Amino acid sequence: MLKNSPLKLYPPTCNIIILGLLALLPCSVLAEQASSESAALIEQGRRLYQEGVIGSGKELQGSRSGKVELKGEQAACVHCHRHSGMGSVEGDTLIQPINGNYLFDPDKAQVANMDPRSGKKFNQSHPAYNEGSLAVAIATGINNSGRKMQALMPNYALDKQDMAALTAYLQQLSTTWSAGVDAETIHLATIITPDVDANRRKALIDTLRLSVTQKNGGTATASSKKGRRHMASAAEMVLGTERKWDLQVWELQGTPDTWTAQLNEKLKAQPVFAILSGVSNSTWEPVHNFCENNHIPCWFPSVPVPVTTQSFYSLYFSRGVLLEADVLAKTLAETKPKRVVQIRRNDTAATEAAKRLADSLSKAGVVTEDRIIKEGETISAQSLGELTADDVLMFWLRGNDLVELGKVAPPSIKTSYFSGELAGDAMPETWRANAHLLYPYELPNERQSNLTNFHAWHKMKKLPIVDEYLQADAFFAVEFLTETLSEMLDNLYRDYLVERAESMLGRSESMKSEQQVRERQMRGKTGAAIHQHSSSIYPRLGLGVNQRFASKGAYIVHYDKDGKLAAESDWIVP
Amino acid sequence: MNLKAAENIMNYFTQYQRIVVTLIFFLAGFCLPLPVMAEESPAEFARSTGNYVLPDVSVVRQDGKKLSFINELNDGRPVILSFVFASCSAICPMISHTLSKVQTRLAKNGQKFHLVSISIDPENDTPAVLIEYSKKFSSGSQWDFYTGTTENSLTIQKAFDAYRGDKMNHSAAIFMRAKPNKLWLRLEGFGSPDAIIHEYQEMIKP
Repeated sequence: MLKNSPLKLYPPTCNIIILGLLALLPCSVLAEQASSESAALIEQGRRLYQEGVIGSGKELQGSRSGKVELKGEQAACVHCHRHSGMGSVEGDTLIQPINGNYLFDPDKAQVANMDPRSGKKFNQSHPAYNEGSLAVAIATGINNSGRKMQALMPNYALDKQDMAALTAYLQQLSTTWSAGVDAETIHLATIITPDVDANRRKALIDTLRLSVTQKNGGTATASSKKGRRHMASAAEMVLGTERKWDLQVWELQGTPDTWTAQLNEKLKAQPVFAILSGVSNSTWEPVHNFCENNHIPCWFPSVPVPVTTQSFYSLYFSRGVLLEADVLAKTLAETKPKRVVQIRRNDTAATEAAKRLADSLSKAGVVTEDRIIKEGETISAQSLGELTADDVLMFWLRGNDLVELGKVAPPSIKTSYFSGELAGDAMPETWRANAHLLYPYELPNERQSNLTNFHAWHKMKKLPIVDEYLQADAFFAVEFLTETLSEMLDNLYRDYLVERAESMLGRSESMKSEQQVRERQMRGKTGAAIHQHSSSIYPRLGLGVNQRFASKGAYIVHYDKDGKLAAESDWIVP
Repeated sequence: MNLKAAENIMNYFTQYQRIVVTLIFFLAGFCLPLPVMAEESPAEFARSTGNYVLPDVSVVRQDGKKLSFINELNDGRPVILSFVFASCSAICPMISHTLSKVQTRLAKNGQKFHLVSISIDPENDTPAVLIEYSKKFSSGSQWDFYTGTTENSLTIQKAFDAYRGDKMNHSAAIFMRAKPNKLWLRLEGFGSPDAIIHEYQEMIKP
């Protein structure tokens, strides 16, 4: 690069001055050339790291004990070290971080390496790597402290160019906090779509705002000494990595096709680290795409129809009505009724659910018919006409429509199903006797002990429970984010946040469940059997690499003679 | 060399090996460059035996069939059993990769055996997911993958003393048994295909 630069024309002392001047020129040819060269090198490194493709376009090859064992995508670094380069922990196996700070910056290596998941197995400190020592480690499996790396780490024979590309990529990987983070604050936003009614909107905002206010009240930062150190871990206390949260409430307006522009504008005004919770009654797709396109974690929104194509940044509680459709399809594929009549509105949630059910049932040879209640009309006896006793009814209806349904006499049909996700607690009394609900939650009696903290907190804050499902979701989202961010210490990278959720959710949930059982036992109550009860409204939550739906099944329930919901099926995972 | 690091490394060796390795450490410290360590092949796994009682639970095979776990294991063939989950990024791929090689080599000899991989994340690992997973490791007709309810998976993990609270906390272990009512051999750690085949052949000797 210097070869072509104008610098060699001048004596060395002038060079410093010229360099200084050049640095001031934001668009200097020199800088541009340099950055495009290094960008190309970083991109080559990224392909090697993430896709297992080397500079020549061939597959990356990794060998263990002298034999080539892994090729291409399977040999890619990202498998174990993950997108963020922060590594992972599986059982006794600690996969070291290999991000820029850890490898190349001795001052920051320690914090990159402090991972509460690994207990005391912190890595030994090591001198900073350079391209040469990194090449030795990768080629021979001997790290720069002279120690043999663990058996999981393959050896790679990379040529000089590939090694330079990998080094360039790693040097910039997870070295600075993601957008939305500064030394004292983590900026977050929640998103509410226009179709959500005022009561639910307020319930969500109150739960989120009050928990953030409470969290900030107890957080000391450099400029605001009030509060205390969290002491969630010794590392957090010593390093003082806690930050205050700033929560924006992004209330969308208008039709879904205008949401992207609104979101982009809001993000430009205030970059955020993650979207915390959120709610929609219909589509969530524009928000989902916004999160993916801007690489922003979308942290457990409450939505009836999440996007199910494989994506990275969006984490959901469940597949919502699509899960319900699959559970019903699995059940009906066994009983094979003559016809399933789906009664619904023409909204996104009901339409998507009905389409999914119809598709699955047609494969099982079951005919479906959709009856749509038109806009401006209410459900009437007519919508329920021309039915035979063998028909199965599926109601994809909510709130007001269920109130109207209550005014119509139930037809003499053996089996009627309702969507628990859409119906919530709005099931009309007159229909309850013969109704079956698809219920993707823990049963009300079972979940009360799991929701002890949730109820106690809302009582303490004098917040009424308007919608237990929504508020419990929001409460869980805050609780889990608090815990996860606290453990991430100063390693505040968005990819890492997602990876922590992938690997921690199940473990943190099972730890909580064990603790709850112990507490119950201490209070002299039974509950000895440790099931993996979660602290949420779902029986259990867990993710894994590329898993994006934490709860994976549903019960089929009915109202018993005391009017309580009782399961009539096992937890069905379609 | 940091003392604690040395201690950590030492935990991987048997007592006899420790003496040898300690000697090597000394030599390494005084006159040899450390990379010599790399050429020493440390014990790859901890070996133990166990009398695990098979629980009477049902499992679902990759073809969707619901079957008795006991019957699946007691069909007369020697069993090599492991716990896996499809979205596991580090440990399971390595174990499955090793088992894939073991499978190929044993099958080449015309040996009859049953490779059994049990999901510890059964709600995610539906039969369809397990089939996808098995393709990655070219599983043949003597290798089956099982899922089922979370409760049944936990019961099986506990029966083999392999339950660690959560899937992310699992450890690398391979279990093998020559025939019903015999003891199980437990290999904890990352064994090479050669080492595992050696253990297997020793075990099935009459």
